[in-house]
Amino acid sequence: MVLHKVLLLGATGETGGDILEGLAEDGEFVSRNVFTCFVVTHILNRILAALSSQRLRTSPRSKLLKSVTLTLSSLISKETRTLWQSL
Amino acid sequence: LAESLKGYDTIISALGALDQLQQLNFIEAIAKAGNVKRFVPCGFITICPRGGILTPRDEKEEVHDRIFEHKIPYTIIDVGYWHQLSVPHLASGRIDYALHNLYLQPPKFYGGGTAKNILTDKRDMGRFTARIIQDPRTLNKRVFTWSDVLSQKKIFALVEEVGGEKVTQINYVSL
Repeated sequence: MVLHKVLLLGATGETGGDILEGLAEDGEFVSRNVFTCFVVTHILNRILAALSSQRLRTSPRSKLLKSVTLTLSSLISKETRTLWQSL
Repeated sequence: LAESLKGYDTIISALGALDQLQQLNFIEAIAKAGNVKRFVPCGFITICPRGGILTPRDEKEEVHDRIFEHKIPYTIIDVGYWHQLSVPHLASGRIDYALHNLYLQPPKFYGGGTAKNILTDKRDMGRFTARIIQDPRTLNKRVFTWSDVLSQKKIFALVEEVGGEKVTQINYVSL
């Protein structure tokens, strides 16, 4: 069975949560674990976007946070790929 | 980002009504990835003309323009006004569990309340979306979803009938 591969951005939000439920219920889409990874990746991306803002860009603490976030993002992406390949 | 988007059949964005423009860079990445079969932008907002009436709507249209510019395969899903925002609060609080937090206050009642509103239950969005993105007819189309067409007068009457109490503290808004 070929599954429909879907990326859902904002799955923890108001409408995103409802969409996630509907896709999971339908059964024609990739597993919820993959969605979860994408959600985490999305959150990390939002942190990175925030760190890129003019106000935070110059903060020394934000450089460290950015480094940690990038590492986490990379690990999560790897995990997502592994889950995907296991489908 | 473009590299990580390769291999998806469909990308659905649900970033939030107030985060519409954050999708612009994402659309650039989708265009660069080049092989996404369908993009569903975050646009689960009521329909109205663009041009200063509803800010999220204007931003949503800006997002659509960028999608069209790049000729990205799309499906735009429009909705009616949410059920969860249409049902008035009762003084006893007995139906608060079903309402959106924004509406736990005296409801606004527009004009005589006789204008019919197209309504969508937010909880249906997942089922709607799942069906829409599997239907080839919806590719490069706008799809409108709704579950009821009711006037405010009718909604308030239903709530009073089922809830067993009158809706009080109404803010009447003249048109």
